[in-house]
Amino acid sequence: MTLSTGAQQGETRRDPRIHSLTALTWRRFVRHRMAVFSIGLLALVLASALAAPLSRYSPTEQNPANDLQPPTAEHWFGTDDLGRDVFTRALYGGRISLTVGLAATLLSLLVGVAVGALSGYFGGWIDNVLMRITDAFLSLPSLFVLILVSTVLRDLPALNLRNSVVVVILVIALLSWMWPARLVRGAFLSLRAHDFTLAARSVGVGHARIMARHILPNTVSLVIVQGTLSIAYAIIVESGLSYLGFGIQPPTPSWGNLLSTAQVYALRAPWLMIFPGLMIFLTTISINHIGDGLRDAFDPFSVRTTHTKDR
Amino acid sequence: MQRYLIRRVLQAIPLLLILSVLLFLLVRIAPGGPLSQAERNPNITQEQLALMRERLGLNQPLPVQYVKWMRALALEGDLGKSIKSNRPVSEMIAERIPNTLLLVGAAFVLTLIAAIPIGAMSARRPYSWFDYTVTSLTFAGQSVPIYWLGLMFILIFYVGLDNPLTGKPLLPAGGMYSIGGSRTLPDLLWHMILPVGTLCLTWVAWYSRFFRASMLEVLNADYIRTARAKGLSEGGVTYVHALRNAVSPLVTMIALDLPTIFAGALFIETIFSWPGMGRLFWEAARGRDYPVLLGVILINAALIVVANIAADVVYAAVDPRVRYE
Repeated sequence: MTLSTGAQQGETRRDPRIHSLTALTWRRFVRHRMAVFSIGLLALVLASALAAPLSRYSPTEQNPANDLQPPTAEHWFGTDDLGRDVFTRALYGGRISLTVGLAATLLSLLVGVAVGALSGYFGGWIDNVLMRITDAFLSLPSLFVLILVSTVLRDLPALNLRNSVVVVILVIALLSWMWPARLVRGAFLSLRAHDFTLAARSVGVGHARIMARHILPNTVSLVIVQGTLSIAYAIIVESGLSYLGFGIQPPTPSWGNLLSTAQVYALRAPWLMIFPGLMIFLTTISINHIGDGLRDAFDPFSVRTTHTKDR
Repeated sequence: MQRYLIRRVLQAIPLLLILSVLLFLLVRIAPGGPLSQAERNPNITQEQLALMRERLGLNQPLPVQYVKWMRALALEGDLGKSIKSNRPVSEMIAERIPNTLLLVGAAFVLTLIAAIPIGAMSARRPYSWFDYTVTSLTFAGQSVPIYWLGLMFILIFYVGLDNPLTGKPLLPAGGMYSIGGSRTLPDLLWHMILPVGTLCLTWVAWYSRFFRASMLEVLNADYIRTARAKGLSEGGVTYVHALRNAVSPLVTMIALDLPTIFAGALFIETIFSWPGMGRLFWEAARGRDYPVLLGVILINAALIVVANIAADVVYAAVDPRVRYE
């Protein structure tokens, strides 16, 4: 409710019908050309990942007679050291990388929003304890810990996660919930001081309901922007881990582990290094542009595109 | 200030202790713990395994093991011995740290030299063509995975381009010195171009963005209006009054960014075979050399904690408006 009044002040009132918050936000988003273009690009990447089974090649079946072929009409991205079609593997790799990016982000948002909400709403010792934990996680050398934790988890026979995407999702979420937590805490801290919270309290609404129904909806735009940007972050982390050999394990393809085999053949088959990385780059840059567009669109006072570092 | 410092240090100690306990437990729950490699080796008999366990003190209860390990660390800086090379971990890390600092330090100095003027010029004329170009480039720089950028540079400058005089690759693909050559400064600088350049490009993207935002904020301040009202030239206002005050948030920023900086170093050292701490960690992780893994993480965590405290002190020193109590 506070958001919509703010939004309307910035606009001239011509046709009241199009002045709903969603319509205003949408209009501002469409004005961000890079973001709109990026949505198209991302849709293309998504569609290609979904369409991966349509390829006439198998992502894992080896064909050593046909190894390290340069890109041709038959094999668009060439073939790798085991004769597999790299284009097909990149499409299947996209399924894995995008899934990991999305799942890790959702998980980290779940934890982060919960921690931030409790911390910001209740304050006091709860806030103190939760924020010290958050600070501790923020001061970890995260990539090093990611590598160690994923190595140990994978080695545990009891969990049987040796070759699992789940490990990668879990460890990425484990080390990225702190940013949404801080962001949401800040929002809750200021929103709980607003009159509508006081009004709700005075008519006897419980804490849980105030947090979930009164305050949380006001933080949705923040969380969406943060979430969008952290999908790109999670994809970069996943591919980095896999590139180093501690993420998704071959023969399951991911954009990152395609690159790690490629480096060995830098001299004989340089094209192997180009395409998987290009897929990562196109995906992350589109997601970042969309995030930027959303940030501008949600900000009722934004006039022109601004980009700021938020971490 | 002193009181604040003491409080910060006192807060940092339990943090590092908890971290060390967690990491210690994590490494111990790994199957076979530090001996997982030896257990898979068919040439090592059960008796030898038992002996190794005894020697490493793995038969004792976990808390006892932890206290012993911590005491050795606190009193003598002893991080245990590498499973692979049987050398003291502290020694292995100590010989790698200077290489990492050289790489990261050089990259960082160059980053700031580039990022501050770029950010200042962008902020001085926001939404000009210069600002738009920089914005697009920084977006690309923030989105590109650093390891892929490194690989592309190897592809261009090592695989693709040749030195027209010698016919050899234009730039080396890895290492600190040429193999078999003498360890000269020019050779070192030669080998630093690609790894330092890769780090710089991605870092400049982040820091010029940050500095632009910081500068824009300062340019809106009252004292800037006063400076203009006094009739100072626009350049004087931007580059003398505003720049100084916009630089100080960078100090905090850098300290907070240290985990990312170390991560970048790990990737770059791995790709370019640079014998630093990151490369050591990567090799140790491949070989499940847990004492080394533990040692490197703890050293990095301690560096980050110390840097954060130091940043607060420096921040107060460069910006007299900041007061701690």
